[in-house]
Parts: sequence; structure tokens; C-alpha cells
Amino acid sequence: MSMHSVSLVFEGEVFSLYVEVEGKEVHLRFDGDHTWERKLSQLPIEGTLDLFCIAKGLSQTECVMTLSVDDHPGWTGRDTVGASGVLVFKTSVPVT
Amino acid sequence: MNTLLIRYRVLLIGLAVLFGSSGLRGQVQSSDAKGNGPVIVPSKASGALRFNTEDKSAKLAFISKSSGDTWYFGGSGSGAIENSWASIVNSGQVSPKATAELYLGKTGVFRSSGDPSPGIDWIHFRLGLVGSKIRLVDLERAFAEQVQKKLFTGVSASGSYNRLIGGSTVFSFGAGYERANNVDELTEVEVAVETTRTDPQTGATRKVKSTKTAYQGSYLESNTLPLTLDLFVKPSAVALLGLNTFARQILSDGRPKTVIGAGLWILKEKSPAIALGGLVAQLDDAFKASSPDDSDSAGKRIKVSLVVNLPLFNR
Repeated sequence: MSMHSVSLVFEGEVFSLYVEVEGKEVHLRFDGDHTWERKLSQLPIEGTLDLFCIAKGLSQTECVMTLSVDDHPGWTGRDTVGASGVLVFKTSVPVT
Repeated sequence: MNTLLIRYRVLLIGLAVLFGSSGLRGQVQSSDAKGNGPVIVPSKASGALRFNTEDKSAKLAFISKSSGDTWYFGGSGSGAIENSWASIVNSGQVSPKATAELYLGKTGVFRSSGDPSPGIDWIHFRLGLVGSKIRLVDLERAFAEQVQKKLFTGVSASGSYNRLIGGSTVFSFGAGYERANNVDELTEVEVAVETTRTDPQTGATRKVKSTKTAYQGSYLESNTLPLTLDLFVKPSAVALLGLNTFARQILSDGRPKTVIGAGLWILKEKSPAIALGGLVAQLDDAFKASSPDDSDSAGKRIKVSLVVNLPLFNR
């Protein structure tokens, strides 16, 4: 199992945000505008990095979730909140 | 404290300009004609100018918040002009008003942010301080005492419960305490003073006229207990429009006053939580608690306001 730095950036005018990395909740810091960010240093990762995110807001809100590993682009998810008001991002990113 | 707030009203607005380089962006939620409404997004750091027929203000806010079901806190400061556009144009004078607020809140009270089911809720507590300066005119008094300056300071506190239902509806109800005055019910007038001097040799006269904005009527300060109810709906069929309805029950010295109204809002594309502007209509004192003898018609108590919210800063 190797150690990596992971950067998470979520953009979108949502009412709430919940993020899990490797099955554990991670608190992203709100910048006061529309961006939530967090950088995790020395995160132990084996094989793949699991990301799970729930955003809740008004329908037709555009959201972008960006994941970087060791300062390299890892994954970007872009979607729009639906009529239910819930948007879920879920991905597994291979890490070497 | 009120003197400091009024004295530094210019600084509050000046800070808005200084913060331009930090990349903060303004956002204003839907509201009633006085700018009071549900906290749609649990507050934001922002700078915004708000213009409507009822309110002319600049506001700066900050927030500290993390994702998840966490507590957040923040504050805001604003400077406003109470008198009408007409009196500003005619006399060039303003009746200033400054407000400072602190707030505390928490998301995920009964519906967690980590629950994949629709809906999220939050509670919001606010503590505020307001100061304003106006002139009062009473022509029944001795001439030297007819125009008097009045400094008003008031404390307010409130709590509200807010909930996003599905992806289209925001519901909010709250209660609080507010020290308030009745400036909104007074008559705004222009007080003109003419001074005439006569040349004893030629008989020529010279007149100097000064004009000041003042308020006429029975000025009162009172302790009020406002109850608020707001409902905001974004129809799914119409992407950029939102509708809010609201009711305010204000208990003041035992007399309840009810304000009801509705607003139609233009929402920002891809960010419908941001209201760019709107049209608000409200009926003050809907059940005529102030004039039960029917001396005040409904037409006089209807207010229609066009609201334009201008973000001070853009990324």
C-alpha cells in the first residue's frame, strides 16, 4: 500500500455536500462562494481510489467534481441536479 | 455602538471595493420587499448591491463552513439608505442605516447530507445590531424645536428552520425578537427653511433656501416579535423563474400586524439558487390592525418593488 496526496474540488451552488474517500467521510472546506475544497496528504491507497459524493440542491444546478492524485488529474465528473434534488458522484480511480 | 455603525457606514461600503481583488461573488436570495427572506443557501461570503423601491443597500458577508452535517458561522455588515429615491434626487441627502449581523447554523438536522434520500434541512440563528439616523419634523412645536435628529439603535435575534424539499421547493419558518421603529409608517417630507436678508440701503432682499429630508408623524420605537413563513418554488418546467410566497406576523406591543406577499424571481442559469432580480408585491398590515376603523384602504398598504441584485465582485 503506497501513500499519495489527493485533492478534491467540488463546484456548484448546492445546499449540502457529503463526500467519502475510501469509505470514510471527508470534510471539504467551503470557500464562501460556490467551491468546496480539500487536500489530503499521505493517504494510503491500494490499487484504486474510491470516491462517493452526495450533493443536494435545486434542480438544474450544474455541479463539477474534480479529483487529483499526486497533483495529476485523476477524474472529473460533471452533472446536473435532477428533479429529486439529489446528485450522486461515484467512481473508482486506478492509482499507480 | 450606533454612532460607530453610522460613522463607519462609508467604511463598510469601502470594504466592498477593497475586497474586489479577493474574487468574492455576490448572491442574494429571494425575499420580501424589505429584503428579508429564507436563507436558501446557508449563507455565503458575498458582496452585493441591492436596489429596489424599498431598499438601497450594499452588503458584505463572510462564512466559515465545511461539508457534511456541520455547524457553520458567519457575519455580515451592510449600509443602506432609508429615504426614497425622489428625496435623494431632490435634496441630495440620505438617511443612513447600518446593520451588523452574526449567525450560526447547522445543516442536517432531521435529514442528513449523507442520506441519499431527497431533502436536506438546516437551522439558522442570527444576532443583529442596527443603527440609523433620521430627522423628525413636528410643526406644532416651537420653531427652534420643530426639526430634530433622531438616532435609533436596535438589537434583533432570530432562529429559523429551513428545508429543501425535492429539487424544487424551499420551506422556512422562523421566530425572533427585534427592536424596531415605525419609520416605514411615517410620511417622508421635505423641510425647507428660507432665510431672507434685506439690504437696509437699497431695500433689496436676498433669500437663501436649504432643504432637508425629514419624517412627519408619530414616531415610535417598540419591541416586536416577528414570525416568518416563506415558501420558494422553482417550477421544473421553467428553468429560470422562481416564485416565493411569504407571510410575516409581527407582534408589537400586543398588536399583531400581518404582511403577506409574493415575488417572481429571475434565477441564474445553471445556478438557480441565485436570484438575479425579481418583482415583489406585498400587502402590509393585511388585517388592518393599525387602522381597524377602515380609514386606511388596502391600496395604500400594497407595495410593489422591482428588485435588482448586483454582485459587487466577479471571479
